[in-house]
Amino acid sequence: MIRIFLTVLILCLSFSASFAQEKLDFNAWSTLPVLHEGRLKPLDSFSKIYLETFSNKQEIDGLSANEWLAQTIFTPDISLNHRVHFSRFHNEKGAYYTYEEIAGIVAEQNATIQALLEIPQDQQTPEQKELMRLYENYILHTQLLRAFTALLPLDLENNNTLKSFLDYKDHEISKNIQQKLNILSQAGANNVLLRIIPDGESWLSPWQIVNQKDINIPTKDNLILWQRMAVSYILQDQKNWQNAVQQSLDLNSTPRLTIEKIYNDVNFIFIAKILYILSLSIVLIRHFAPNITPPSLAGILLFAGIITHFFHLLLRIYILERAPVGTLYESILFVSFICVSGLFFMAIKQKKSLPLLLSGLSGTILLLTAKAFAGIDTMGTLEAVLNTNFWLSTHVICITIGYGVCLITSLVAHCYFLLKENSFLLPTIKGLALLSLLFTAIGTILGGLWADQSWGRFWGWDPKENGALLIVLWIIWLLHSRLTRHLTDDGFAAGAAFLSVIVVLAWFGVNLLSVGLHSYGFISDVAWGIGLFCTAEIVTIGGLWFYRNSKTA
Amino acid sequence: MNFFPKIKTALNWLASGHIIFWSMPWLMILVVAGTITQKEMGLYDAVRTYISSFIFWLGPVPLPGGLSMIALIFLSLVINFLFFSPWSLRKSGIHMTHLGVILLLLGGLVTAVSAKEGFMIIPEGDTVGAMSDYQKRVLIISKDNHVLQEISFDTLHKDQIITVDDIELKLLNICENCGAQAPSGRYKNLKGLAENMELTTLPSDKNPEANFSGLTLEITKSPDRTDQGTYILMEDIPTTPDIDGMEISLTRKAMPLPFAVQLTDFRKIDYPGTRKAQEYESDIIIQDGSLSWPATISMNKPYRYKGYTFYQSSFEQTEQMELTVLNVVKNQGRFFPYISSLVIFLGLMSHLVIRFKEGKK
Repeated sequence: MIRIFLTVLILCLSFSASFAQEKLDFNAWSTLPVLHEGRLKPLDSFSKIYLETFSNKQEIDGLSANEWLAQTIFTPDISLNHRVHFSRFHNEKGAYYTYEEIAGIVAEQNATIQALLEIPQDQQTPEQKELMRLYENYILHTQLLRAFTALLPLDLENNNTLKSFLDYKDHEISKNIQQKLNILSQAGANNVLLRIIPDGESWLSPWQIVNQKDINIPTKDNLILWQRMAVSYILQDQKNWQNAVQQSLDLNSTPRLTIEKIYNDVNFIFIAKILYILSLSIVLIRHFAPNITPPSLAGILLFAGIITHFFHLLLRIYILERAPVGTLYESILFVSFICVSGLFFMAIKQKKSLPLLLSGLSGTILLLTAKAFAGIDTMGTLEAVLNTNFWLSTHVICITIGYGVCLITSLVAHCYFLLKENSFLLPTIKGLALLSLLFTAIGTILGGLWADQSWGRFWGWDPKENGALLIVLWIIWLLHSRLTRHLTDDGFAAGAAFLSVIVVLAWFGVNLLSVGLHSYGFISDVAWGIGLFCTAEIVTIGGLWFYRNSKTA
Repeated sequence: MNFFPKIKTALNWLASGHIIFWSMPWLMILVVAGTITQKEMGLYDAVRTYISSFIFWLGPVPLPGGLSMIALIFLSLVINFLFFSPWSLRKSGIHMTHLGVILLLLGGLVTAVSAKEGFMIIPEGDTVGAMSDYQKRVLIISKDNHVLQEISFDTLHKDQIITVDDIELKLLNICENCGAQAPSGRYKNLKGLAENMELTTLPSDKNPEANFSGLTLEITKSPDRTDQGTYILMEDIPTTPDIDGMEISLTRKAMPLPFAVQLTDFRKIDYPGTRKAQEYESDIIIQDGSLSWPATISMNKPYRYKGYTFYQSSFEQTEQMELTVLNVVKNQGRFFPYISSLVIFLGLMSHLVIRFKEGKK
């Protein structure tokens, strides 16, 4: 009955529509909630995740991600024209395909796909992985195309057909609709991707609601609002569209969703990165042409970058309701903030341009690195063991601050070899090394206490634990060797510069092993990058040492 | 001969920076080796070889292991702290930090000597009063639930003869990690499980707890001659040979607890709309004598009683049943890291503040 009722409702609404040709506004619509990957997020995030998953793009054929999503779910027949799927399956350079072309590839490769479903991903060749990625995207796209077919009058037919319903007699309408709904019902089985309707404490997709025996009144109200949106979209009726969207927002919107939409739109971290690059460029330019810009401009830009960066972290804390260090990507954002702000503080305190240069440099390099670890959705849910705000806010914050201070120490130590008059840097390096030891040692011990609370042992020689221990041991060795004069000034500075290598190995390197209890942090594909960095650092530090000794000889 | 100057010289050398300067890099190399080799050797063997050893062999060359280095550093620290650390406010931070590290290492020693660790598999509704060892397996011969003989699996060897009362058995094949195949005809007079399968030896798993041990044995003497024949035993397989009322089984070594634990409910709570776990929870009832009370164990929230701590470790959910796997630890040294971390924190902070103030002057 509900299906017939809803379809008749569409017909009624279509009559009452004003057929106004004013362009639909997606700004408010994109803040509507959807439950996705365990988190309630605005449609804006949802649409961007899927468009980027399929195409690596933020927009397609002049449509924004939100417009593309609306077209996909409300007028699937029209959306099929877009070449939205990027793939290297047939072409090494990659090409864009339509949904139907992808469906053709999947049908053609069906036997291979079925066989590959039994093979673990790490045992698949790159070509096989690409085929499986294509297959998964095909399933996801199919779900999106069919997400609203329960509420749409017709499946993949032109919306002009909607008006032709008028020509049918009542029983013919009923029979025709029933027939189509039966076909669509099969097509929509297990279609749970678009969970946009609140139903008690859970969120369900339109198909889940339609397939329910009993629908409560608030759920039905929400469903009807979505149906009004669908019809308004088909008829491009701005007034009804806005009205339905607003009513749905009144029922379900939260400030967190609006903030996430702002977070997506403004892209604070990109702005911060640009400001850091600008600041770095100005410091470098001023080195050769001191009068070209005002002396404080680089500092002002850097400060603006730090504020923007801070705001980005703050928004993530508010949106995700946890400390902003749950993933590798987040830890890079946090460590870069520590480096940039720490060095900026040093620049203010010492009134020197060197820390300003290092600040901009560290921000630029780390934020560029973060991009490589970002993935498409940077706000995923955490593994159960990480789902604790207390330990994230203590152990992880402490150890990541430690990473940041270690990198500052290393950067300053690099400069020690470059400057002619450098002895003033030694107390700074020693102080920074001590500060690094404070944070990494306490962070490591707090990690042990967390392990004691969740796994029953303080220390288990797990690779991630060993990585943290290595940093602590290295700094202890440096400080003691300096104190007992086993290391010269140059040796101590070289050891401090080498901290960057130890930190990178402890931070990323141990995750490559894919062994131990810290499975949530396992990564692959960055071994070359890590190897390259470590080699470059060893060569650089060795080179700087040689350069300095050859100068003093 | 006056030994005191020599002792003083020795102590002086032990407390000097030479120990840290030379032993710390070697310890770091061992930590790196013990980490990288985990990929191939597994955590247990890698740590045992490089870190939890006094000596390890690099081909024919003996080299000091991690324990030697840690012991040396500990000794150096203790001597330095006791005899060469004159108290002054300026050095108070350093002394406090050293004390914290001594406590941390001491805690590690207490843990290594006293800690007991095992696991409990409890199906929903069942009550379990013992924990099982992760690695150690035992061959148990019992009668009327009374253990007559318990032999460590590690000490068993091929052709070993074991006699209990009127029964004599001979071990024909032992595999630490077993597979199964159809009977090849190699053994005669097959009984029980052996009628349908024969054990094969698989390479040992990198993680000893993942091995599936088994053995093939022959009953050579028994009061009832029809019981004589070849049997197989597999770890934790409930079908065990019954020879004249005597049961023979292979199982993980059990460590009885002074109380029992009943599982009333296990829950895997997923993030909404996904199958990704957000939380695992076990509702248990502790039964100690005539007293019993409920408790809940979840991720990061263990339950402690009588020195034992229970952690949510794993689970299994099927349509027929749910079971929880709890990690059980008894560790006399568990408070050391908590105290030492506080002492180290205070020590490093004091040192930094004192250094900062000195710098200002």
